[in-house]
Amino acid sequence: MSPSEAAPVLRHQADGFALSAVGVSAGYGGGRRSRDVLHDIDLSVPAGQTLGIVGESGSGKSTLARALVGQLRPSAGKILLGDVEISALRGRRLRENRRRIQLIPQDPYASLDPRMTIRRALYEAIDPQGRRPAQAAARISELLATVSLDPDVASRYPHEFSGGQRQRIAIARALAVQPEVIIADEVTSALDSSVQAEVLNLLRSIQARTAITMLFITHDLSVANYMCDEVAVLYLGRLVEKGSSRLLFSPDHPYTRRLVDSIPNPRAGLSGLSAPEITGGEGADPANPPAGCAFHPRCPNGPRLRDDRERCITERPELLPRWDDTGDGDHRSAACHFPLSEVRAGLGD
Amino acid sequence: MTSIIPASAHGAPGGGAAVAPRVRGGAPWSAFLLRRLGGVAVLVAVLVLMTFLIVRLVPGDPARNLVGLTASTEQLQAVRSQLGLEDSLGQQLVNYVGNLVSGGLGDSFVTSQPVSRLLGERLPVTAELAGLALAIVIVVGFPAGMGMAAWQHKRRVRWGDSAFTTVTSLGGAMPEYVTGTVLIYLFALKFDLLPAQGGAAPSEIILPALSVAFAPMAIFARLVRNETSAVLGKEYITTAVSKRLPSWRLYLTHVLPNVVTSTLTLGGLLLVALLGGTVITENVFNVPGIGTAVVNAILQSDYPVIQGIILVLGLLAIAITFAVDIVLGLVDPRTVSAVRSQ
Amino acid sequence: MTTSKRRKPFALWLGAALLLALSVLAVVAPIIWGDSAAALSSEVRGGPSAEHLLGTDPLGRDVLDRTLVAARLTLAMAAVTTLIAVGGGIVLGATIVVAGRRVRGLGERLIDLMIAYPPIIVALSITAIFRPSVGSVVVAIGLAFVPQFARLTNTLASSVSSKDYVVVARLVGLRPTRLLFRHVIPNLAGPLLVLTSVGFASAIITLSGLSFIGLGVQEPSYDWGRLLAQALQDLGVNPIEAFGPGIAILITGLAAGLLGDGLNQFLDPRGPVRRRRRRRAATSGGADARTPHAALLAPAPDAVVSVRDLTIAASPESVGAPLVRGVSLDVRAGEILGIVGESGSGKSLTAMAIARLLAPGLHWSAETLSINGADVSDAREQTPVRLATDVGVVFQDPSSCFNPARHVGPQITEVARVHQGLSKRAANELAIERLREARVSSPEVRMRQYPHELSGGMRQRAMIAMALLTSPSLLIADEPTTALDVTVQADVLQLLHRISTTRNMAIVLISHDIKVVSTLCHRVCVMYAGRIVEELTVEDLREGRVCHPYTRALLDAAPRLEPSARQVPLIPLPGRPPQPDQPIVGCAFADRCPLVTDRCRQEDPALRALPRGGVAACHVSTGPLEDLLVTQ
Repeated sequence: MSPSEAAPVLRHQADGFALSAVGVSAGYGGGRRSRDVLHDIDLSVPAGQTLGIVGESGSGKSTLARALVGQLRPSAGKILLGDVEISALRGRRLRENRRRIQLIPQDPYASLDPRMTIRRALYEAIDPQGRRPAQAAARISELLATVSLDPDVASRYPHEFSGGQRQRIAIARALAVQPEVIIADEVTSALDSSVQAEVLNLLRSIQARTAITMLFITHDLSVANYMCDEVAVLYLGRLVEKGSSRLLFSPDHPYTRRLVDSIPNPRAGLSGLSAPEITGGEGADPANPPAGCAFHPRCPNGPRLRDDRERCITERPELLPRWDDTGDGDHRSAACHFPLSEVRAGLGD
Repeated sequence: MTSIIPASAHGAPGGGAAVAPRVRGGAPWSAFLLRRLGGVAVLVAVLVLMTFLIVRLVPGDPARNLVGLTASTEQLQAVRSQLGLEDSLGQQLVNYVGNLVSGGLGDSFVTSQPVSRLLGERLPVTAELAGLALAIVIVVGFPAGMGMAAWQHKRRVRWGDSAFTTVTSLGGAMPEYVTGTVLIYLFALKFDLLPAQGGAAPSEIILPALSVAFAPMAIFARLVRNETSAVLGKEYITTAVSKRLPSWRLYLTHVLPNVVTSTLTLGGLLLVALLGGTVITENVFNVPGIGTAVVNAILQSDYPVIQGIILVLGLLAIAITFAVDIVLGLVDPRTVSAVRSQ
Repeated sequence: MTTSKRRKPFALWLGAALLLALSVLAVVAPIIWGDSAAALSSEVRGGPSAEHLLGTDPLGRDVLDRTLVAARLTLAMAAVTTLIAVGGGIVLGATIVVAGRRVRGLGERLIDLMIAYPPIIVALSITAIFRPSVGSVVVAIGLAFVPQFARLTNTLASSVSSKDYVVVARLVGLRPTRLLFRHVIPNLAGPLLVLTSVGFASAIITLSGLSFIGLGVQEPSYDWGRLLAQALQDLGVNPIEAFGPGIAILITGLAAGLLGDGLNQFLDPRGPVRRRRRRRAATSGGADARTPHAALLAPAPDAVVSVRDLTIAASPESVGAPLVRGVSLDVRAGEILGIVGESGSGKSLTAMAIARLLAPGLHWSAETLSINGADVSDAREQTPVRLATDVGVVFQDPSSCFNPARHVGPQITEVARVHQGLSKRAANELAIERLREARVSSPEVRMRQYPHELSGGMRQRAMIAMALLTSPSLLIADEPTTALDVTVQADVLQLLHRISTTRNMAIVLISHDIKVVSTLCHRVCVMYAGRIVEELTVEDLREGRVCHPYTRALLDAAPRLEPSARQVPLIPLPGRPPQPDQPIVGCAFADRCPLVTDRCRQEDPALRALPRGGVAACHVSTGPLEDLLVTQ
C-alpha cells in the first residue's frame, strides 16, 4: 500500500466511515481498449448519513455506483466497506460481503424480474440460499408495510404496479437484505413529480428510523439538497467539489456554481438563470477530457476569458480541503486553482 | 457571479472536445473500407481452408473410394498423386493455395476437363438465375411492403393487415422445389406457355427465377412492411410531417433511406440465402448451372469439381455480404463512423 | 392494467394441434400402412380413385399410404436436425455469454464469421465428405444452422443478463448457478421455444430439399422430399402424385411456423395488440354541454393562436373519458404560455393538436382552431403551407428528431425550399443565419454534418433554428428541455426567452416541471386528466397564489433549492390520476384531493373566473390556497 493510499484507509477505519472510495478509477472495455471514465475518486460516507453524488450526463455517476457495488471492478484504487476492502474480494467472500451494500436502480420497470411475484422477489432477497422459510412470510409483510404497500400485493406481478409503486418495491427489496449501505441511483428521475416526493420522503423516513447509510445519486440539485447531508460534485469523471450539502449555497468551484445557477428558480424568474451561454465544453468525451482542469473550456473565470489563468490549462487542480466561515467547522474540498469564495485554504489535517 | 461573456467568445472552439467536423470521403471512409476488406480477407481464407479440408476429411482413403475396391495398386497410386495425397498436410495446403492463386482448380475426375472451364460454362447461367431472382425479390417485395405499411399508416384497416400477414406467411413457407413443381405443372404442362427445362434463354429462366424468388419475396415484403411501420412511428417522421411536405417527398427523402438501412441490416442474410435456393431450384428445372453440377459431382465423388463450386458459391456469398455493407455505409452515415468508436 | 391471463393466439392453437397430429401420425403410420405402402399393384401411375385417393407411383404403390408412412422418417430427421441445430446453437451461444470477456469477444467474432456463409455451403461440404445418406444430411443441416441459432441465443442471453433485475439479484448474493436458473433461463425459455419451432420449420424444408435433389435419403428409403422428386419425373403423366408429399411438406412447415408466430405473440409482454377501429370523425367527443371555459374566454382577435373547446379521444366508442376534454386557450404575440401537468394529463396531445400533428387514429374536434385568425382545423388548400410556415415545432428528444440518414443542413432548409421556393443558396444562407441566432457554434460546419455528430444541446438548438426558419408567429415547444442536462436546459430556456422578445413571437411551452414553466412563462395552464383545471399568471404562480388543490399539490411536491428546504418536508400527492380506460364521474381529482366534498364526486366543476384573475375548476376553493394542504 502506498503512503498516499494508507492515510485515507486508516482514516476510514478510525472515523467509522461506512463506505470509502480511495483513489478509485474505473472504466469500460478490457485489455488495451479499456478507457477509464472515472478518475481518482476519493470519498467517504459517514455511517448513518446520506452522501449525494451530483453531476450531469457523462460525469460518471452511474459508473461510480456500479463500481461501488462491485459490478464493475475498479482499474485502480480500493473500495472499503466497513472493515473489509470489498474491491479485493472474489468468489464466495465477495458474495457474502456484497449483501452489505445494495443498489436501487433508476428504472423501476427494469429492476424487477417480470416473471417473479413480489413475494418471490422479496423472498429471494431475504434468503438467497433458500434455507429458512419460517420467518420469511412475516418479514415480507413487514417490509411491504415499511414501504406503505398492502401485504396482500405480495402475490402480484410487477406489471400490475405503477412506476412509483415499483420503486417502493425495489426499496423494500434492498431493505430485505438488511444492508449497511444503500446506493440509490437516480431513483426518482423516471417518476412524475408528485410521485417523486413520495419516494423521497419514504427514503428519508427509512433513514431516520434505521440510520442506514445512503449514497444518493442524482442530477437534480434540489433533490440532493433535500436528501443529503453531504454532496460530492462530479464533472467528466472527477470530483470537483465535496463537503456539507450547504456548499450548494456558496460553492467554491465555478462548475458547482454553474449547476446551481442553472436550476430554474421561479422566485427569481429568468434573471436567476445563469446569464452566459457557453457551449464550448458541451459534448466533451468523458473518456478523453480536456487537459488541466477539465472545466476550463467552459469556465467563466477561466483562461478563455482571463489571460492570467493559463495555469488552468496546464495543471490539474487537486481536490484540496477548505473550511467555510459559517463557523461549523465543516470540512469541504474543491478542485480549483481560483476558488470562488474567500475562505481559508487548509493544509490538511 | 459577475463576469459577462462577450458574444464573440461564443464561436470559439471548445476544449478540443467538441465534435470535430467530419465530411464523407475523409478518414472514416477509408477506415471503414479497410475494416470491411479485412473481414473479407478472413472470410476468403477460411473458405479456402474449408474447401481444402473437404478432401482431407473424407473418412478412409479418398483415392480408394474413388477408384473402387477392385482397382490395382498402380491406379490407386496414380489417383493419390493426382489428389496430392502424398505430401504432408502443410505442403498439400501450400500447393492447393498456390494452384488457386494461379487460377488452377484442378481437373474433373469424371470428365478430365479443367474445373475452371466447367465453371466458365455454368457460372453465368447460375449468376443470371440468382440475379433475376434477386431483382424480383426487391422489385416486388420492397414496394409491396412499403405500400402496405403506408396504407396501414394512413387508414388502419384490420383485415388488410391480417390478410397481408397471412399471405406473406403462406408464401414464405413455400419451399422453392414445391413452388417449382407447381409452376412446371401449371405453365409447362397444363398451359404449355413456358418450357419445363431451365436454361439461360429468357423463356427458360422465368420459371426457375420465380421459384427461387417466391418465398424470399414474401418474407422480404413482410420485413419491409414491419421496418416501414417502425420508421413511420419515429419522431423524426413527426418532424418531417410538421413541415407538410408532399407525400412523395416525405416518403422518398425521409422514410425510404431509413427503411433501406434497417431492411438491409436484417435482410442481408436473406439475400445470401437466395444462393441456396438457386442450387435447389436448378435441380428442379435441370438448369445447366453450378447447382446441378455440384449435386452430380457429390454423387460421383468428383472432388475437384465439388471444391471449385463450393469455393465459387462461398465467394459469391462473401461478395453479397460485402456489397450490402458498402451500401449500408453509403445510406447510413452512422455505420461508417461507428468503426471509429469500436 | 394488464390482465394476467392473456388470450392465446389462434396461430398457437392451430400450430400446436397440427404438430401434435403429425407426431401421432409419425408414430402410428408405418404400423398401420407400412404393408400397404410397400404393396405393388398393376395400376401403374394411376390417377386418383376410390382405392388410391392420391393415385399410384410408377411401381403401382399407393401414394397416400407412402406419404403417410414417410412422415416418420421425415419428422424424425427434422427433429434430430433441430436438436443438433438448436441444441448446438444454444450451448455455443450460452457458453460464449458465460465465458470470460476475452473468450466472449473471440466467440462472437467466430459466430459472425460462420454466419457469413450460407447454410447450403456447409451442408453441401458435409454431404460431400460423408456421402449422401440420412445420417450425413441430418448432421450437415444441423451443423449448418448452428451459427444462426448461436447468434440468436447469444443476443438473447446477453440482453437478459445485462438487465437490471439480474444485476440486483447478483447483489442480493445469489450464486451464479441460482442466478442462471431463477432469472436468466426462465426469461430465455419463451424466446428459445420460438426459436426451436422456427428451427423445425427450416429443418423440414431444407431436409426435404436435399432429399429432393438426391443428396438426402437414398433408395429404398423414402421421405417426402424423395417422394416429391419421384413425382416430378411423372408430372407430365400423373400430376396427382406430387400432391401428397408436396402438401405434407407445406403443412408441416406451416404448422411449425404458426407455432413459432403464435408463441411469439403469446409471449410478448404487451399482449395481443388490439387495433382500434376507425370510424367517421365524430363531433361529440364526450365534452358535455357545459363548456364553460370557452364561454369565459372573450373572443381574442389579436391572438396568434386561438383554441376553443378542443376534445381528443382515442376512438368515439371508447369506454374511458376523452384524452383531452374541452380545452380552450389563446396566446398573443410575444407571450409565452406554459402548459403543465403530469404524464397522461393531455398536455402534449393539446400541443400536437394545435400543430395538427396528432397521430393518425386519434379523433379530435374543436369549435375553433385558428392561427393568426385563419381557421386551420380543416384540410383547405392553404392550411398545410400555413401550418408549415407559421408554426414552428420543437420536440422533446433532439436525438431522435432529426432524420439520422441525412445531413443537418437540408433538413433545416427543407420548409423554405418546398413551401417558399427559395433557391438552395438562399435557403442555406437563411439557415445559417437562424443557426447563429440559436447560438450554434460554427453553423456552416454543422450544416454539413449528420445529426449524430452534434451534441445533445447543439441538436436542440439546431431544432429551434429549424423551427424558426420561416419566421413563424407561433412556436410550440413540447418538453424541449426534458432530455437535456440542467446547464444546457438553462441555456435553451434563455434562448426561448430571447426569441420570444426579439421576434415578438407566441410560444406554447409544454412541461411536466412546474419550476421550468414558472421560470420562463408569462401565463400558465395547469392540466389534469385531460382538462385545464387552472389558468393563472406566472406572478400568481411564483408567489404561490394558486386556487386549485392540484396546482398547490404540484408546488408542494417539488423540492426547492433553498437552505431551509431540508427542514420542510415535501407533501406527496397520494394515489394516481385516472387511467385512460376509466370513465370519469365528477371531479377527476376528487380521489386525491384533501378538500373533497360529496359534490366533487358527482359533479365535474366548471371553470370559473377568480377574483384575483385567472380561472380554476374547483367546487371548494375560490381563493389562494396557502397552507391548506400542509395542515391536512
